[in-house]
Amino acid sequence: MERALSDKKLIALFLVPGLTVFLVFYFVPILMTAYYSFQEWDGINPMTFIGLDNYTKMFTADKSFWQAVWNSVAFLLVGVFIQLPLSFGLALLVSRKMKGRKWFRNIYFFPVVMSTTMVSLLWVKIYDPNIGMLNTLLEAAHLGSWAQAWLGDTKTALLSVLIVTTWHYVGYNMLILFAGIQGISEQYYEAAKLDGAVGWKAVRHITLPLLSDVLRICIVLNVIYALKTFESVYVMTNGGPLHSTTMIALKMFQEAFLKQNFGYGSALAVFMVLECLIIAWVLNKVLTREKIEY
Amino acid sequence: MFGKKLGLVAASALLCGVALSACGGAEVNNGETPKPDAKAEGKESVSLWIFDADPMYQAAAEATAAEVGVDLKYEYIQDETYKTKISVALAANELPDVFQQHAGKSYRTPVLQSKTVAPLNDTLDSTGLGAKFLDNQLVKEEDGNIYSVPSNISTTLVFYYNKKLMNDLGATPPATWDDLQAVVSKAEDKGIIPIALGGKERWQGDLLYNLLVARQDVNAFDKALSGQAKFTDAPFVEAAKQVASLVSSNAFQKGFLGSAYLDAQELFKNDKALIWIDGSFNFSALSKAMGDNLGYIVFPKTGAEDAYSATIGFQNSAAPYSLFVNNSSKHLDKAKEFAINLSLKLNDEFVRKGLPGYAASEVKSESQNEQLSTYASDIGKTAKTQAMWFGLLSADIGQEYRDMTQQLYGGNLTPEEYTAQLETLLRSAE
Repeated sequence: MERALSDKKLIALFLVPGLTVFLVFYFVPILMTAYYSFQEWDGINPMTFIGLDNYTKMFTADKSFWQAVWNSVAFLLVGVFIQLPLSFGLALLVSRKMKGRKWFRNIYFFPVVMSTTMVSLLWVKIYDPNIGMLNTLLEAAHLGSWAQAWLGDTKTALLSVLIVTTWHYVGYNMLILFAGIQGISEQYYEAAKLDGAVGWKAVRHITLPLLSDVLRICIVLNVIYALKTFESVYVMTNGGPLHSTTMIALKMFQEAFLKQNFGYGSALAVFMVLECLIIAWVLNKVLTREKIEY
Repeated sequence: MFGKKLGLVAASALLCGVALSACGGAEVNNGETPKPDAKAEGKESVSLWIFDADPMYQAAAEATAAEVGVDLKYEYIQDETYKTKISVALAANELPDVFQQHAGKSYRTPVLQSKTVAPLNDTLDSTGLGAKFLDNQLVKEEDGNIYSVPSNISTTLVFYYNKKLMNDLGATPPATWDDLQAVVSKAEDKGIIPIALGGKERWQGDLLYNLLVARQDVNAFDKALSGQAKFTDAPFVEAAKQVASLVSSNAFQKGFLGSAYLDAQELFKNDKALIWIDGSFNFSALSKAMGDNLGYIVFPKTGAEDAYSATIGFQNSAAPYSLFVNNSSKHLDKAKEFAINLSLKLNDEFVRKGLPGYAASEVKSESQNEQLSTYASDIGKTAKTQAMWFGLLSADIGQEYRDMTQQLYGGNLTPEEYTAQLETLLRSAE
């Protein structure tokens, strides 16, 4: 066995099947998409090479592209600065030794188990301005003036979608952070307690520093999810009204499969891949720090 | 060829990655329905994709399969999902043996350009079934071949109203633009939604605008598209002003731009909305759901043209709802025979319902409800069926046009701005 593990050729041979699958199903599609992004192509007729025209159109002529970029940024900011702190708060709560904490943990995690399509359809009904639960509740509480056409108004549609995605995935980050908190030895808290660090001080000086690696992973995952968002927007608003909730992934889908602009759709896909790679790389660089040990 | 296909499948995998999960979620698949003993009988197998939710399609397909002697693999795919699935299948040549396609140039042209569909002339001639189709119902393409058979009758935009709500308002169905405005105002005052509109999918608003233009000048669109007139001319501007007027008078339900078509339809069916503008293909379903409560009138005279001057058709004679046969089918002859027979079987069902078919039929019409009879009579009196504009445009321009029209409904564009942009966009369609 040891001989086999020291034989680099043999190791390479065993890696070939996995590597082939990776290349064919991950790397080749990305390369092919990049190639198509320089073409004008409807997916059926012969392609025409147009150089960087698709990219020029994307950055200079397509107004809804910048709307989509802004929406992605909004998803990203909400994911990192609202959803993650909420998840952290919930993780702290369910980490406390109290009665029913398992039950609460399951309740908070439950939405994650449901499919995005199902959650989105559920919220479409809740948000419905004419027969939906939200407006009915507001009116019952004599807050009728707060009732809105949530998904049908450009002013509230993006916020409404963001609330749903936050609600849906808050439990996901909570579970990861909860696992991280469980991994912190109790002795640190006991030692800190002797030094007078309890409550928020313990969280700030013990929990947060020791969770930094987990938080980094959560931030990267949140950012990538935000940039790739498609399903919830597709089901709830289809990017509307008036492109107010459109996302890069949704635009890519609409261009390629509805407008049959495979070339332009591919350019959007390339942009999305590069955007994810660059932001994930920058985040990893910025957030990587020396491992803290007490 | 193989490289291109492989590349397309690979790229589609990337492009579809995020899309497929959502589409899959929305898809309602009735499943394949192979007969358990079919293989034992040595029958040839034919797969069929249908987007029409009417159970009549599956029943007709199964009956046809039994008659033709094939093992049917029937798959119903939800309408919106179908549009995506068929475009990917076309590009990758992963089509079923027989498939349905939507009406309109933007849907038909890619099918023909893909060169994946088989001409049906030989089977139409050899079986003699071609003679059963009425004149001009089989579309002869530029190369002289017939590549499709009809899968639906000609359907038009219909003005439905809720009789109970109209009575409660003490109003009569509108016959003119002033009447329509008065009814809208009355309904709005009583807290009833005047017109339910599914703005999310955009097509309902688009078709309503088409009809408002046709009421201003029945030939306005044809003249503008051919360059004899402009899309900035009075009929287009006036119709756009009417749309803006309806929006500003709260004629549509709150948040209509975000309302899905089916959700908006529910408002109408459940006595929450007074008026519903939809295709005639929904007569049966709406009659079933609402009974005698369903009212129908010919669309009001909202402009200079008479109410019987024109209606908006969901298809045009050159690009109707169709059944195509995949030319790579393993059982090509049987698939062709099946498609032609299915088309005729569907025609029988339409005739049975009292609707005008596209082929000769020995089936007798069952009694029609009053509304449907009135509609059939009105269609007979209507001088012109203007094909919906979207169906005459290519896919990319059509989608841009619908986006733009949604901006008119959303108040992002004034009628003048809208028509100016319409002129630029649709002029590029020439």
